[in-house]
Amino acid sequence: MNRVSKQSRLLTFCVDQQWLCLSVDQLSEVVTPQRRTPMPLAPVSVNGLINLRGKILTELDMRTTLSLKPRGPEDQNFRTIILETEEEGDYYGLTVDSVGEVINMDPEAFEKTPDSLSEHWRCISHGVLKQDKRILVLVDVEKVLTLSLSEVATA
Amino acid sequence: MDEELLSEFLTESNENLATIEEQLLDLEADPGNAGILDGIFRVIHTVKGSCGFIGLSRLEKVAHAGENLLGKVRSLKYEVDGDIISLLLESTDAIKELLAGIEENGSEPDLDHSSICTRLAAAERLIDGGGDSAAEAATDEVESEISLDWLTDMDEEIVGALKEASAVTPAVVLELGFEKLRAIPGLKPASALKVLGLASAAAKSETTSDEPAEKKKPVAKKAKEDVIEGKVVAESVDASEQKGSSKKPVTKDEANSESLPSVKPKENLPAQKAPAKKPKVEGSIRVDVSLLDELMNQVGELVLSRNRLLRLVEDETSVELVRTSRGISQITSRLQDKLLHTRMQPISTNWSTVPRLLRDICKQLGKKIRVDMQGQETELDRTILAAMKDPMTHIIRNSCDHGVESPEVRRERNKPEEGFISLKARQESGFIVIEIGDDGGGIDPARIKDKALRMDLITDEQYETMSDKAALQLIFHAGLSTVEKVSNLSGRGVGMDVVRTQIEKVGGTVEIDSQVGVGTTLLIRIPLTLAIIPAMIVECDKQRFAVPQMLVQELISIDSDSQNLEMLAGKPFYRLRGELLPMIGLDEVLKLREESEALSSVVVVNIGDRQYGIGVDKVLGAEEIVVKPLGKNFQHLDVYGGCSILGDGLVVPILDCNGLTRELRQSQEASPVSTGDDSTELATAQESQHILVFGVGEERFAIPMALVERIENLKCEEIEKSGDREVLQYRGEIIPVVRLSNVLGIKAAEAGATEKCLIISDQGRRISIQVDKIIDIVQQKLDIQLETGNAFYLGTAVIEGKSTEIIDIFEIIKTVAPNWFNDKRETGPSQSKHVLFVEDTIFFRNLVVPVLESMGFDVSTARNGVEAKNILEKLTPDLLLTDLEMPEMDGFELAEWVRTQPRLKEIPIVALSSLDPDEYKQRAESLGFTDRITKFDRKVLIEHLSKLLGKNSSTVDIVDAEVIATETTGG
Repeated sequence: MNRVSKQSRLLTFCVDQQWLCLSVDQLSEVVTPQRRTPMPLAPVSVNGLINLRGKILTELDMRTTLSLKPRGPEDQNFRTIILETEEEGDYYGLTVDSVGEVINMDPEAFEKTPDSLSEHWRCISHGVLKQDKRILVLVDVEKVLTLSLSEVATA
Repeated sequence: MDEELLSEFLTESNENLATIEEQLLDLEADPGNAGILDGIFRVIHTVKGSCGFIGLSRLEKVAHAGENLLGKVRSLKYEVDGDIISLLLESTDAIKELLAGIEENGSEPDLDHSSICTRLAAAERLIDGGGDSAAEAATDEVESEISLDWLTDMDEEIVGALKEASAVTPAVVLELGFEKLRAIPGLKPASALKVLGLASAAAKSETTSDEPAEKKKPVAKKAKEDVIEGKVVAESVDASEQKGSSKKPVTKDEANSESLPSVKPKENLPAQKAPAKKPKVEGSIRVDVSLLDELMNQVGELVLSRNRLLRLVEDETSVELVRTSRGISQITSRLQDKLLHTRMQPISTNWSTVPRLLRDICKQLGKKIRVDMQGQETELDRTILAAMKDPMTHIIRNSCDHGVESPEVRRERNKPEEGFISLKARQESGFIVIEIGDDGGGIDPARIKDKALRMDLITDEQYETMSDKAALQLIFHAGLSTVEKVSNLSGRGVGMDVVRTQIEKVGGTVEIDSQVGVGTTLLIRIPLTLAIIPAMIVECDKQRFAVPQMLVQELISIDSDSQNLEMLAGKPFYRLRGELLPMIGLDEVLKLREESEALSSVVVVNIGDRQYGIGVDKVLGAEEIVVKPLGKNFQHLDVYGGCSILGDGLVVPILDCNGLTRELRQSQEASPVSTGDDSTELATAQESQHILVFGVGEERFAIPMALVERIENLKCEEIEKSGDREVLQYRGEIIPVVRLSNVLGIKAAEAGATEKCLIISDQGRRISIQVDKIIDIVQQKLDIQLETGNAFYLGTAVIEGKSTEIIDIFEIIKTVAPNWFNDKRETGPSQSKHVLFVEDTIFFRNLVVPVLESMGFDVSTARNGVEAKNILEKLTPDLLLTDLEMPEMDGFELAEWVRTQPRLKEIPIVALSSLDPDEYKQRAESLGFTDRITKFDRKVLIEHLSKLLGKNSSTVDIVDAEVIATETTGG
């Protein structure tokens, strides 16, 4: 997965009212809710498998990865960010609450991750971007994957 | 280095080298065969030439040395021996090593093959030396002529050192190059440099006469060519200067740069271009494997679409449409079939390395083993072939190392000195079956069992009951090895667990069969992977799963009250046509539900030679599905074997039955459940007890001695009739007599002069049980296997090696004296007290509960501490009567827990156990056990219980009771 460069354009998205972003180079598309097949015994963050035009992807839930409370019944208009992959056969989608606009990376506004964030957030964060009205957490996609897949399902 | 060029070179070289081992072995068997020799020479020559072309100097050096040797052999028509073949094999290994390194990194690995090169050169000289004497003389002559001349002002020692290393002519010195010269003991770098300089000068000054001794020999032009090439190629090449005899001042270049500057590929020796032959066009084409995989995927989808089309067309009336769709269907089938074959390769691809392997091993171990192959043309999918390579090698190594005996031992055992390994492959309805066998010493199942027992892999019981075949399968458990000494070759002699894992990874199974002294065979069964497989779609907890139909044997539907559904040690089994089928619910394995639901629909799968049942909610139907791999992150979940997309677009996981039944299988192997109609539940009595074995008619029966007060030998006359019953006058009372033969419906033996009676006493009343003969009193563990049949029997046990029925004496008594238990002689407690009785063994529960009930108690039972705890949470008994040794939670733990519950603190706890009193006295005391009674002492039990429940508070009071047997014999 590519590193975020100074020229990157970033896709913003929201999870439990916190805004995050990731480089557009790392994603291939964003899709509306897909029918998923739950996979028993898989890590908790794995919502299940989804079929995208014949390709089978593993759907991961950002809320679960970050140990946030699950989406309520009213939040069913979520989005899944389909990640760009370097490896054949390993496809992932990241489910978030909603997706915002694409912004330009502003090195001036970039700061390293504050220590006050919880463990999970610190783990997946490259750093933060300060904007007028909000602070965006710049996401390290690889770490998200690692964190999501390492949590073993509790029986 | 040009990527494409390099890649071409690698593919070509690998191809060429693929067969070279075989050819070398053929040559060994037929040393005079010029054709084979030529073939081998050409391959090495090609490699060497191409190397030069590309600038792979290390590879070139090795190839060149090999080529030289081969050239010599060929020109002298030398008949090679085992040593030379070994040397050549080593050199091809080195070449392969280098090629592998190049493939991986794009450049030559930093490996030093100077040793092999030197040895090849030495061998060459040896052969040379063995040539006709004229040549020999010539060599010496030439050598002596040259040796001192050119080495002017060099020290004696240096000359000596050079002589030692056989580097006495300028040509040889030049060939060795700076590195090797420096490596010669006695030669300092400076001296080496000097020597090189001299050599070069000497070489320059002389023209053709300078050529090394070889020239003098009857060699063809080829040799000269070799030499020229050799000189030029061995050192760095300044491409432009390429005349045959010109010797450039190579030394300086050498000295400056160890690594050879890259050769400009374009400007190259015409001589070297020639050897780079293109392989003859065979009508084949190289295709990327990923392209094939993609094709497979698409064809898979095509097949599914075709299936849907066919179904839709069924209702169509248009003839044209139907015909066309049928045409498409046929074409699709053929396409699918052919495409599958593109990925298949014959198993000989794997087996071809075996002769070489055997040869090396045999040399190393000093054994003689040959290999026999059958079914080499059997085809397997590439991925499976790749996966099988390692396990196969390991198995063969094992057979050679630990299986096949040394020639001496074999002679002793009247076996032919040469052992053999047989490789067989065949296709059997959707499976490929591979057999690897040897005619070695076999594996002793007893030794394996011993080791397993020592390692706590199996219990004593399993040790006794395990069949030989099952014992052999234990060898697949990690850590088990009956080989005492570690061998270099195959490590601890096993890694069989790894072998099995590797085989199972591709969905296969492996079994071992062996006969001591005769040999061992491994049977591997692998399903043919087809990208499209027929599967059963099942539903569990509203989720769908696919089960590959290949493994499915049948579907059964079970009623919860079915007679064939049985529980063994808490696990469900189904009696399927006489065999016991272990079952597990899918909801349990996948943890779909909190509590497993009762099994109703069961899919019976075949794994290896055994069947297992997987319980599901519903079976939805059969479908053909395209198998798609699951991502890396699912690899470790062995319950899944991929996934697929069903007609409605939803993804469905494909179950891996191997993984699903893993737990079931592990316990099965260690303790094979005895199949057949007899065994159902296994209840073990932990303690050993005195058992009275007696006979009625022809049959044997047994009863715990504890229940018998006395054995009497009465005269027939003493048994009198009273009304329609028989009675006996005994110790001042009239007691009823029960003839077991009548009760059990068995033909009694001939009445003799005396009658044998067992006097059973209870609460002051007695009864006499009449039997035909007393056989024995034994002390052993009572291991009862229960049968739900005759109410008079508690079950069957093996006593002194014979199957013996254990009588339920209370049942029998009830038939003759129904009021026996109702009539309470002793004053029992007035109001109904509640006793919670905790005991894991059915036998003892049956023994004690009636007693408790006869005392007028309300009895609740629990099978272990945990169950007791559950019951105690809901209700409060008046007394807790518990066994001490129980699974899950023993008596002590239970007592401990009880004492912490405020509501239960005051309850008297009585331990009913046959454990040694002293041992547990302390512990029992501290836990607040009120009382302790031996299991069989009913009198004492009744006494104590009545005492306790008459009391208000509990006191700490340990009572040591004796086993009643001693009392009885005491009279």
